[in-house]
Amino acid sequence: MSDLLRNRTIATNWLSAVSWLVLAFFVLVALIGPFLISADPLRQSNSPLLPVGSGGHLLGTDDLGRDELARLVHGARPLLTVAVLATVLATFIGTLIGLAAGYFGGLVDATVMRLVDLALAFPSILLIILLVAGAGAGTTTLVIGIGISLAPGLARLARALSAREAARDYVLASKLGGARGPRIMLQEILPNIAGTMLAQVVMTLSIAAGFAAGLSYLGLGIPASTPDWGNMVQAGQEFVLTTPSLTLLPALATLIFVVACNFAGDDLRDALDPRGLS
Amino acid sequence: MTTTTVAARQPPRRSLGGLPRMIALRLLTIPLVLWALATLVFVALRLLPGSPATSLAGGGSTDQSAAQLTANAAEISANLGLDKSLPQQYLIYLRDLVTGDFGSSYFGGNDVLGLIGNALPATIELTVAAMLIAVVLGGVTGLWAALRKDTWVDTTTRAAATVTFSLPWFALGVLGIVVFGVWLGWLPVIGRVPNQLSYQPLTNFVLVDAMLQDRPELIWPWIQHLILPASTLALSTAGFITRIVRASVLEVLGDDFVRTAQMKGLDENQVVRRHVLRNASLPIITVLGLQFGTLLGGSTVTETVFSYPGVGVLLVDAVLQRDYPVVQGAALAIALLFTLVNAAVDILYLVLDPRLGES
Repeated sequence: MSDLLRNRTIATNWLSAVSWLVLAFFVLVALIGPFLISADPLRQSNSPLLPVGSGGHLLGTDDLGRDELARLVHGARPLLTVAVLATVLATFIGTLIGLAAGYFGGLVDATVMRLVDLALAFPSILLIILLVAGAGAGTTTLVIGIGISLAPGLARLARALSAREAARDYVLASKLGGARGPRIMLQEILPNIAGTMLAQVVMTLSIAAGFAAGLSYLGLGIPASTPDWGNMVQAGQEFVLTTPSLTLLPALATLIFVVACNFAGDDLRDALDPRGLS
Repeated sequence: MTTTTVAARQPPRRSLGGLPRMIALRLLTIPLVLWALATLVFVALRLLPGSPATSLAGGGSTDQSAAQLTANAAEISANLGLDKSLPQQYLIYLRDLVTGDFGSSYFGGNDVLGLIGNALPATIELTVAAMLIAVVLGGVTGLWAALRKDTWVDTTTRAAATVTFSLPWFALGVLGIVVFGVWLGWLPVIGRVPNQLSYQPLTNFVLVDAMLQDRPELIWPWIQHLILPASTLALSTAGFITRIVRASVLEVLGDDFVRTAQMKGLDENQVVRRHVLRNASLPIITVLGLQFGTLLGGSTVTETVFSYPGVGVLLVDAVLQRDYPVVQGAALAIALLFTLVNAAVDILYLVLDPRLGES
C-alpha cells in the first residue's frame, strides 16, 4: 500500500513539474519568441503548403507560403494576452461578488448565489457569441465576454471560502475593533482565501485560453490578420487532407497549453488546499 | 423508485403532498426564464454599440459614398422597424415571438422558423449522443477507478479526468479529424448523412425518419457521422461524471448496507449492480443538468468543426454575415432547448428524490 502511495506521489510530482515547465515555456515563447524568430509570420512566398521539415521552413509553410513556425510563435502572444486579461477580469468580478455574498450572508447571499447558479448553467459560448454579434468581433469584446462568463465559477468558490472565514475569531475581533465590512473583506478575509483562489484562477486561465482560441477559430475572436492558434486551425482545416500539420500544430499547441494549465492548477490546489474545499 | 436501499440511507420520508406543487412551481418558472433570455438576446442585438442597420448597409461595399450609405441604412432601418423607439421595438419583438413570427433571413429570405426547424433536430441528436457517451464513459471509468482505489487504474483515470476538464472542443475535434479521419481513415469527418443516400427529411430526426420512411440503410452512416463530433463534445462532461461517480461510489462503498450485502455473500458484481450504481445515479443527473448548457454551447463550436448542419452552425454563420433575424432565432432556439432540458432535469430530480421538495 505504501509503495503504491509513494509511486502515485512521484507520478503526480513528475506530471506537475512537466506542466509547470511547459507553462513557463509557453509564457517565454509569447514574451520573447517573436524576437528570437527571424522569419516574418505575415510574409508570403512562392512556396505554399511545404511539408514539415522543408529546407528553410522547419514546420513548413501555409497556403500563402508563410512560415508556419513563425506564425505559431507569433500566435502565442495574442491568445495568451486575451486569456490572461479575461482571467484577471473574471477573478476581479468573481472575487468581489463571492466575498460580498459570503461575508454578508442572508438574503444578499441567497439572491446572488441563485443568480450565479443560473449563470453557471447557461451556455457561456452563447453569451459570448451574442456579445460579438451585437458589439462586433475584436479583442476587447472577447476579453469582456470571456471574463464575464467565467466569473460565476470563481464567485462560487470565493463565496464558500469567505463564508468559512467570516465565522472565524479574527474576523470577529476585527469587527469588535470597529472595522467596517469592506475593510474586513479586503484586508482580513481576502488575504486568507487568496491562496486557495489562486488554484482556481490557474484552472480558469486554461478555460479562458480554450474559449479565446475557439472563438478565433469560429472567426468571432482575434482578427484573422493577426496570426493566432484559433484562426490558424480554421485556415489550415481546408488543407487537412494534403498538409494536416497546418491545422494540427496550432490545435496541439492549444491543447498542450490547456492541459498544462489544468495540471498546474491541480498541483496548486494540492499544495494550497489540502482539505479539498475547492 | 422507492427501494429498501435508498430508504435505509435516508431519514424517514415525509408526505409527498408537496411534490406536485413543487413540479407545478418549477413549470411556472419556464416562461419567466424564457422571457429573461429573450430580453437578453434583444439587449445584445439592439442595445450594444454598432447598429445592425449601419453594418448591414455598409456590408462588403467600400466604393459607396457616405451619403448613399446613410440613405441605405435609413431605408433598411425603416424596413426592419429599427427606426422606432426601443420600447416600441421591444414590444413588437415580444409580440412577434409569442405569435411565432421570427422573420426571415436577410440573405435569401428564408423563413427563420423553417431554418431552425431544419437545424434544431440535428443539434438535439448531437447533444443527446454526447450525453449518452459521457454517461457511459464517465460511469464506467468512475466506477472502475473507485473499485480499484489507489492503484494505477485510479491514478490514471483521475489524471485523465483532469486533462479533459477544459479541453477546447475545436482543437479536440480537429485532432479527431486528423487522426481518425485522415490518418486512420476510420470515420467520416463532415456532415450528418452522406449525400449519395439522398436523405429526404420529414421530421429531421434521422432515426425517426429512417423508421417512418422504412429506410434502415440510413442508420449506420448516420451513427458513423455522429461518433466523432459527439465524442468531441462528450469528453469534458465525461471527465466530470468520472469524478462524481468515483466520489459517490466510494462514499456508498463505505455504507453499512453495502457491507451487509457483502457479508450476505453477494459477489462484487451483484453488490455494484444492486446497491452502488443505483445510489450513484442522482449525482449523475445533477451533473448532466449542470453540463447540458455547456454541451449546447460546445455544440456551436463542434458543429462548425465538423460542418454538421445544426443550430450552432446556423448561429455562427449568421453572426459572421450579420444576419440578425437568424442570429436572434438561433439564439432563442438554443435558449428554449436549454430552459426545457433544465426544467426536465430538475423535475426528474424532484421525482427521484422527493426530500428535496421539502427542505
